[in-house]
Amino acid sequence: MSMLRNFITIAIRNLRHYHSYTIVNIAGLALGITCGLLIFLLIRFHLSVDRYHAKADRIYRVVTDLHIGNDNIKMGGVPYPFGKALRLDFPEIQSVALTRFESNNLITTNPDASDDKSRKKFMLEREMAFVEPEFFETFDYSWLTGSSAVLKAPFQAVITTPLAEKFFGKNNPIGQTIRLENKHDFRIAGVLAEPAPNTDFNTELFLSYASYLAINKAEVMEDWDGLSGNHQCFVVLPEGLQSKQIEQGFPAFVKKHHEKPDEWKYKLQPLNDKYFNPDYGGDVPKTMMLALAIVGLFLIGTACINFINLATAQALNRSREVGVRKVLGSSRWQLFKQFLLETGLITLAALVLSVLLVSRALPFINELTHSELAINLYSDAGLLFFLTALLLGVTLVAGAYPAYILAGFKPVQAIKGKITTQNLGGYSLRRGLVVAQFVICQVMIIAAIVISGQMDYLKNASLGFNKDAIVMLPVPNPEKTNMEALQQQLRQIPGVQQLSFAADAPAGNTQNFANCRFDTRQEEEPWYINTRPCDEQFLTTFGIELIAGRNLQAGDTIREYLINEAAVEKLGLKSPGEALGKALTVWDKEAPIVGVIRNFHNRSLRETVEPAVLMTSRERYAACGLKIDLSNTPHILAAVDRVWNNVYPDAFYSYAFLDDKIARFYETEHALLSLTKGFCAIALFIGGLGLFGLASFMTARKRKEIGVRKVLGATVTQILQLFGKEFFRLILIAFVLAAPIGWLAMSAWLRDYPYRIEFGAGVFFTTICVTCLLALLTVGAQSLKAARSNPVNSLRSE
Amino acid sequence: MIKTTNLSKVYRTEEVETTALNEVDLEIKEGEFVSVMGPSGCGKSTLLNVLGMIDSPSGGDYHFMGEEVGRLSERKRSNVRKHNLGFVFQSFNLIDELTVYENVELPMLYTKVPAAERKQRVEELLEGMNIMHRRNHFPQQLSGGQQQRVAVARAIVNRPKLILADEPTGNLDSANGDEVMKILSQLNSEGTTILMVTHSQYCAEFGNRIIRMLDGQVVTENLVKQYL
Repeated sequence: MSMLRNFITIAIRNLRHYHSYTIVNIAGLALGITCGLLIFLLIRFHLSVDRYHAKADRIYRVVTDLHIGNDNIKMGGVPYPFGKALRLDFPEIQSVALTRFESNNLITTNPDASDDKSRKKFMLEREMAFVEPEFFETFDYSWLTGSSAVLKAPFQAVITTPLAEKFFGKNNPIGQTIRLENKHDFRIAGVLAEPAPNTDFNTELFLSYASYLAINKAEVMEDWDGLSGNHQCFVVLPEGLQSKQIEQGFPAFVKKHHEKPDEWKYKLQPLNDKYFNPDYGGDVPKTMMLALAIVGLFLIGTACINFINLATAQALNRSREVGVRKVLGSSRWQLFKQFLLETGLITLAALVLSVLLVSRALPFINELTHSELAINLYSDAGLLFFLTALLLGVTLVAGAYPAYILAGFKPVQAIKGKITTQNLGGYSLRRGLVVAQFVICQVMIIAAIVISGQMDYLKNASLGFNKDAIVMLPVPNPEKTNMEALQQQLRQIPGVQQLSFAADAPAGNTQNFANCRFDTRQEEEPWYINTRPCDEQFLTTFGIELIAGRNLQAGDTIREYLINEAAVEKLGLKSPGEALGKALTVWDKEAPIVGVIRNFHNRSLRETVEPAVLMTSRERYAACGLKIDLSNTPHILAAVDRVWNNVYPDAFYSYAFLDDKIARFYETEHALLSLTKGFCAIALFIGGLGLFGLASFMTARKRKEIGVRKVLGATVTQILQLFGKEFFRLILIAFVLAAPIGWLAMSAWLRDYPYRIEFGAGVFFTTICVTCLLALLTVGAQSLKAARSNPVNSLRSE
Repeated sequence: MIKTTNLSKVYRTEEVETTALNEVDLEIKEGEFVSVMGPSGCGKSTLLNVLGMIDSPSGGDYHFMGEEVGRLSERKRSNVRKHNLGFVFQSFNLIDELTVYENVELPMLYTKVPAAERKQRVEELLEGMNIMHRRNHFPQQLSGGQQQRVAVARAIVNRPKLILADEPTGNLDSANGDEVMKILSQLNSEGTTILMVTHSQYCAEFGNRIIRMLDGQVVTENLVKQYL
């Protein structure tokens, strides 16, 4: 104990004495650990998603693989009659829960109230779902009032507490009526506690599935060919039953129910794959988790490398103490423990600082990554375990080598102050570590430049239509009188230049596909066509180029079609002109193709342009695009708001600029870029500290050499070259390693984008320039100080 | 207490070989106060380091209290050293980050002396050396003489059988140097064996025998006048 106290006392006094060294070390480690800790919290959060359900290991979602012609479509949903058939054909399945997810729904509370104040309209910010009672036997929700049985009857609703508070304030929600889309009334019969944050189910309102059956036509619900990703089926298998055992029965099941069994394949997707598998709409690919883990390890590693460099450079200051302790009887092991303990104290300080930094950074990180990370030292055993492991791991990795070097000093040399940098051993090891650090930094710089370049490209590349100065409004119902009134009144607003009704903007989140048959061909095409119902103003409003034929004529129903270049190509036609005048059948409606338009992107640039067909079909319009004069935006928006609410008094008004909506396609990339930039800056900062450490080591090592050279007539510039050569050589070696790694990694990342930037010499040139600049800033000052020092001092001290 | 036979120490680098001790035969009996003199580089300090077991001999035998210690492992040498030897250096070699009290206490931590006894011994010694009032000061806050008294206190706190002093007055003015020599004489008179390296004939004569070295060898051994 006394020895331990002695170690701690001297450690603290030393850390205070060499405070700049201590600050640099703690800062470096703290930054590395902060990143490591954030990444740990992030990965743990994502890995924990929906793991808290008691039956999580036995829950599966049925997913569908459609093989139509050359297309292979993977969907997280199942046809409407699927659930009923599954129950009958697979009685061994413990429970089946059909679920229909919906979003952007309008809810009216107190719908029958006569005054506007009590009747309130809400646009649901999260999802809503029609669920069977079995949903709550499958997933764990905490019931505050009611039970899953209430969902047996149609038009019953269960609400989560936050939404109940939003709808009804402090009033009891039970028994209240809510109206969905101004059409269907539901009675609230149950209340759930707020769901855990680590769930992939973003649902705040549950409606009975029986109501979904009642709302929709029976033939739709019996159609085995209709498939929506939002209509999902969750099953719980009994203990001991393997998913493969059920899947073996699916081919026969498909044969029994589908007319074209070759096209359909069902699989059981484990619940823990749902969140991660991008093929079926998973949000967070596991490769991203792995990449983050590697970045975290790199950042902690680079911080440890720093520590090793600084600590060994600093070791000379402790040599006399080592000598004295050895003379007084200390063993090498005791000294090793002593110095390891000092590293432990520094690591502990860095850890405490990191926890503080992380707790400050969490709100920002949560917003950026759409997570709900939290840091709670009192009740989070996993976090405490991680922090302890980090403390021990970093102490050992960063502290063992310097401690080994220090404990190994020969007492006679140490006590006479004759330990020189030559005794600190492993100079090439330290150079190797700095090279490793710079490889990490340079790879991260390359990543940051490439991701940022790709982001700029995604944001600015032409989508084949005009997205600027366009405001999108919802069209709550496709009644002709409403639409005409809206159109007429909007056109009267000064500054509204163009206006078009359509199912959606040219690029949006909702896509509708259909089979099509061309001309006199007997068979439907073996691919789906993207259907874009729109009026005749669509092309002019969104600036879409017509390359052959003419535009659509005004009309309420399908009378003619426009197709895009991709459709021409898919149809196997040699030129756009060849399509003109030929018949096309979509949704069983045959009409002539009157024009061909230039390709435009229906989705983000992550996807290739799909074959698309445009047609007038008023009943499918759900949006209105306005091209406005941006110089008078506030007035125009206010006028649009008035007009819209005048036409649709029962609906919920919201508008969005199209370019903002498109920017939201790239939220993941944006988050990735912010994280990469942040981690890159930290890696560079830590790398800078590392260089600083090596520079101090080198100036100490070359003190005498500099003195002698200066006495012999060397100029300051010549001395600076001594340092310059060494550091630029290290940077170059690092670059030779980092460039191919960066190139391979970023080429692989870009490969997912059909439309991407080419990156070449410029990226690598910038990378080397940034690192050289960093070296110049960190090493320059110290080198200059050493080069300008009076040679008499260095020679005398030797 | 000490008996060496053909004790040698050779420093080798890739190209140069330097013989610091050349077959030294030496015997020091318990209770002696032996001074080692000689020009710079003659091997005095090397002899002290080897006899103090902080450096290992390249050849020959070294018996300490009847036991061959020249070829012991570092761990065993360290064990013998901490229980039997005390060191006083020219440059004091106090640990800057420890107070006077903590510096003197330090050797007892390595020999696992109980806390209460440590306290008692440190205080007794600091009283005896007249530096009790400076117990909480750090070495750099003391004069050279005071620092050397602390160093002596640290050297004797474990009650060693042998004190090895390497030019203990080299960094001190004559008054402080005298004081340190008196303390060493006093310790010797109380039974502690002392081996001291010095350049000063005056200091050497505080001992009862003077060994003169040249080129790594003992060239003469004389008793000091009063012991003739």
